[in-house]
Amino acid sequence: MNSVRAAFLGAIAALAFVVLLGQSTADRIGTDTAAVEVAGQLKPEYQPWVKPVGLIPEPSHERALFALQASCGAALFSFAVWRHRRKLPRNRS
Amino acid sequence: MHIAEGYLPLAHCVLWSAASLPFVIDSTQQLGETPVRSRRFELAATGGLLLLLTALKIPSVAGSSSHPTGVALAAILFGPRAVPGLAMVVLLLQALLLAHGGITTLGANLFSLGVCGPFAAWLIYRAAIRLGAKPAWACGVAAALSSLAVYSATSLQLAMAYPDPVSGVLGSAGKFGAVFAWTQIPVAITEGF
Repeated sequence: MNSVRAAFLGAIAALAFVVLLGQSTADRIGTDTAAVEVAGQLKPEYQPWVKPVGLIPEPSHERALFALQASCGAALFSFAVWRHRRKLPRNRS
Repeated sequence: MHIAEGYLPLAHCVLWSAASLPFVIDSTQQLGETPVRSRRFELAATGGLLLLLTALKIPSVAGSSSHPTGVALAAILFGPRAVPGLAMVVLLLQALLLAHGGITTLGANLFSLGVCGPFAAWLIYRAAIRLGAKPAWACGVAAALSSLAVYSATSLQLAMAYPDPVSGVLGSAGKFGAVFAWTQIPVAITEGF
C-alpha cells in the first residue's frame, strides 16, 4: 500500500508542478519551434516530407499530455526509489 | 532537442538511424544482463526521471522554454551503453503520443539524446572524479555539460541538413547553436544542480 501511496504522491506533485510551469511557459516559444524557424530561414523552399504518424494533440491538450507524461515518470521514480530503499536494509543484514 | 517529423531529408534520417542502431542493440543487451537486472529498481528510477525531465518545459531568461535531458544520472549509474534503450522508449512515446519529435527523426534524436549525452556525461564524470572532485559535484557538472552536448549534437544534425548558403555547415551550426544556447545554458545549469 505504501508503494502505491509513494507513486501516487509523486505523480500528483509532478502534475501540479507541470501545470504551474505550463502556465508560466504558455507564451514562451520552445527551442524546438525556434530551431524549425531557423531551418525555414535557411531553406525557405523546404517542406517536411512526412507528417506526424501518431496522435496529434490540440495545443490545449498538449500541455495536459506533457503533464501526464511527467506524472507517469514521477510515479515510476517514486515507486522505484521506495522499493529500492525498502530493499537496502535486507541486503545489509 | 527534438527534431520535428519530416524536418530531416530522407538520406539524413537513414544515416542517423544507421548510426544509432548499433547503440540500441548494444543497450538492449546491456539492460538484459544480470548486473543491470539485479539493480532493476535503480534502473526504473532513472527511466522515470528521464520521462519526468523530458516533459518539463522550463522557462528561461531568453523568453523561451526548453527541457532538461536527464540522461546523465542513468549514464553515471549504469554506464553510457545502457542508456540508448531507455532514451528510445521515451522518444518513441513522445513521437507517437505527443507529436514531439518524430518517427523519421527518431534516429537523429536518439543519437543526440541517447548516445552523445550519456557518453559525454560519463566521460565528464570520470574526468572530474580523477581530478579530485566530490561525486556530487562531478555528477552536477556532468549533468549540466551533457545537456549542452545533446543540444550541440542537435545543432550539428540540423546544420548538416540546412547548411548556410554563405558560411556552410559550421556557420549554420553556429546559428542553431545560438538559438539553443540562450535557453539551454540556464536550463543545463539548473539540471546540474
